[in-house]
Amino acid sequence: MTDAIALEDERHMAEPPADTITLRARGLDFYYGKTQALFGVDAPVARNRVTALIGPSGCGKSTLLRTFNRMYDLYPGQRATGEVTLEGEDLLSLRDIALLRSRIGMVFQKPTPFPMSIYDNVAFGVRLYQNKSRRELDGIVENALRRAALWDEVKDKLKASGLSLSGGQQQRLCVARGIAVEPEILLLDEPASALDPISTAKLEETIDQLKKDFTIVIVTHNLAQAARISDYTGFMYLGRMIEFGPTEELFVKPSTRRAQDYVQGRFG
Amino acid sequence: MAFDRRARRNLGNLVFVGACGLATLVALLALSLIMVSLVKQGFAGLNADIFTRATPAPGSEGGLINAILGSLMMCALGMAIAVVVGLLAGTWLAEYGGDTFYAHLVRFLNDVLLSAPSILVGLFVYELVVRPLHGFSGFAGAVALALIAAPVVTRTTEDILRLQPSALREAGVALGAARWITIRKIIWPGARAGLLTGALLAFARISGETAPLLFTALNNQFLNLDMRQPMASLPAVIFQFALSAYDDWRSLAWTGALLIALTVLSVNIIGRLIAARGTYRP
Amino acid sequence: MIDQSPSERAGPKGGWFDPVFRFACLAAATALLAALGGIVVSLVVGGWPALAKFGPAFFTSTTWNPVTEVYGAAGPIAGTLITSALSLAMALPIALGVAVFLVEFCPRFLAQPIAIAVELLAGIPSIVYGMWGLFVLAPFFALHVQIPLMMTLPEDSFWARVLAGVPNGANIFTASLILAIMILPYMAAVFRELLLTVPAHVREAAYGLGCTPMEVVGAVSLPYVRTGAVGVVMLGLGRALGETMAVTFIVGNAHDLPASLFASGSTLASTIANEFTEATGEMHTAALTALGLVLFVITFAVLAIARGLLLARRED
Repeated sequence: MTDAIALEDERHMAEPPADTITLRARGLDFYYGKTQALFGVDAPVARNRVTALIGPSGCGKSTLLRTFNRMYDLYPGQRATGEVTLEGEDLLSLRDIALLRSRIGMVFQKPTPFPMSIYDNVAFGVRLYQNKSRRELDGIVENALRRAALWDEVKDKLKASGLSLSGGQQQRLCVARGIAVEPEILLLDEPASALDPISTAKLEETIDQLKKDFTIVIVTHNLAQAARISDYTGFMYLGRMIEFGPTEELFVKPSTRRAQDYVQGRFG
Repeated sequence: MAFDRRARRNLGNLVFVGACGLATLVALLALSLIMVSLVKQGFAGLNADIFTRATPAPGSEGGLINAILGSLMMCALGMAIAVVVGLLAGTWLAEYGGDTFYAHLVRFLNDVLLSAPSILVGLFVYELVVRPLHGFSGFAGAVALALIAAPVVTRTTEDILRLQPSALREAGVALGAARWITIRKIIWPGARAGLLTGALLAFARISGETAPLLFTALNNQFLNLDMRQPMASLPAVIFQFALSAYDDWRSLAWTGALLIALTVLSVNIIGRLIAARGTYRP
Repeated sequence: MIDQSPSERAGPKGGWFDPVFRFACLAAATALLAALGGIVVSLVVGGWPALAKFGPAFFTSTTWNPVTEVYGAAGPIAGTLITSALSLAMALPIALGVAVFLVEFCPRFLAQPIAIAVELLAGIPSIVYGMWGLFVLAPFFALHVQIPLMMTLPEDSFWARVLAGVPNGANIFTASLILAIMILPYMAAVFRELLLTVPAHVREAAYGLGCTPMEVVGAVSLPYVRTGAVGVVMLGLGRALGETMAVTFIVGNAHDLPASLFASGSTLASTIANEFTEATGEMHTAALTALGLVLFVITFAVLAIARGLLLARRED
């Protein structure tokens, strides 16, 4: 009882400056069938910054991430109410989600290269939207692979199957695939959790470079990772956004007790 | 006292093990007897004529080429129909139908069709195709075979598509791909090995089916490649020749049976090899 | 993509085709339903004249006379049920024995090849079994079982009557034997797969308690897979019921109720296979179609029960 009351009371939102906010969730509720998973979540994501979502397992951070690109549409029985806006446009009521998804890219927890060549993997998204000449496509593919820090490793074997790469490489391939369509936002759902430390380090480097061109939201259960790479962090617990603010503040001087407990490792 | 019980349990166990071993021996014995007979009798009649001459009148020499070609043609057409229907139906069950009542109904009735006595399929196609068109035909035979193969392809397609990781689907959709493009360019290619195996298993199944052909394609003494006419098939020829009183016909029946058995075995083996090698492994 | 600002983009290609594709898939699934429905309808419509004319007597009469156009299905029905039950009774213990042997007792290096061999043999078409039954089993049976028995058993004794029959090896019993050999590999293969689903730690716990392998199988493994196993038995039964070619060659093709184990008989499937293409007249065809309907009903019932059991297992 006391816990629930405390939950409702203790919130702290230190939002980024209003003109830098590009993607925003406001009062977002989410339901898996009859079970409510998100309760009035607010999440302001700043342009060209890395925003991390942290919290214990089951807190709803992946659920929140997946509402941003309406991934839940695939599954009947899952629905969201409230407000999610991208540059002011409401996403929840948008009819043409396919177009939305070209503006918001996603990289998943487990690397999911398509069963086709590396080249075709990266070009897949681009081909969906435009008819580019072979040379233009070559350029786009190379560009994407470079920015994903994968070009040097695969430039001689673009025709090889995407599945022939190592785990870390596959994940960077998925990143390249996602950025080839030049989205505004890049959603990363625990992208390094299936990778070894070296690949993880490489991926984090890449993310750091990418924020120049993209807005990044990353879900991670690795606190150190969040502290390393993100500019803003949102701490979630039991489907609620408990604290949100600049990463340094949240990790060094958290304003809520629960966030403090989590960040200091008292629960996980 | 305890020792006695122990000894009894051990004895009982020994008997049990012995019984199981015996059962295995009996089973293997029976099956090898059949295989040995088949190979012995079938090989005896195996010669070049088999593949060059049509079925003979009793007392004269001949081969099985009309039956072989007829079987191949009807199986090929039957498979073509079955693969199209089965692939789409299996895709519907895996990708769109999911848990709905209709999907459960389709699954159950598909299994019924799969296990239904094939002779009933023959009766149905007789009413559906042979009667209205006033004649037996290779085409009717192919339709009957398709009705038997399609449920197999549907079942294996659904099973293999369900095994594809949902993250793969989501990755395609996340890029904005239309559902059918995700299926066609990502899910199906990823499942390619399993889909192929399913088709091969279906083919192995129909290549040995006799009953559905008896009242649809009937049989044909002569070499006939026109599917609008009655067509010979290996199983139908075997049926006719085995029950006859003529030695040379019976010998041809054995050889035909051997050909079918070899085909079924090799297709099954190839199917398993493909399945073992080519699964999507990210 | 680089040249267009995000809000100017056109949607992805091909989206309009989605509903068409979905409909095509649904149509294919429905086509399967329609095929099954068509089978039922054609059987009912085709068999109706015979059912209407002979009424319930159709199922109890053994008269099968194309000349007088009087037909009764009791003989084939009995033949189908007897051969299926008998074959199942013979095949089941052996299939179980094989499966248990392969899972518990067989040395590793042998188990895999035997298992593969059994699975491959499950795919051999029934006409092969039929031929072997006709040319090898029947003469052997006549020569080495029937004739000696006929010569040694005293006339009019119980056994002489039970095992009476024309010594040509073509009878209910040999047909059941062939059927048993046919469904054996399939059932053994599936039983083996079922037994392999028993988790290792469950079996190890039983062994750890000092159980002999027999006790482990009887008290732990078999109960664990019980419902699945019954489902498999029913599927094997379903197969035996519908088998045509393996049986037609060797069942003897007599339409009476089999009076003894070694008497000739017929099954629903074998009668249809033998007589359909040379059916004399409409009523004959209708009667045969009615036989098909009966066969379908019996098979469907068995499959439905099997399905129900397998569903119950998933809720275990």
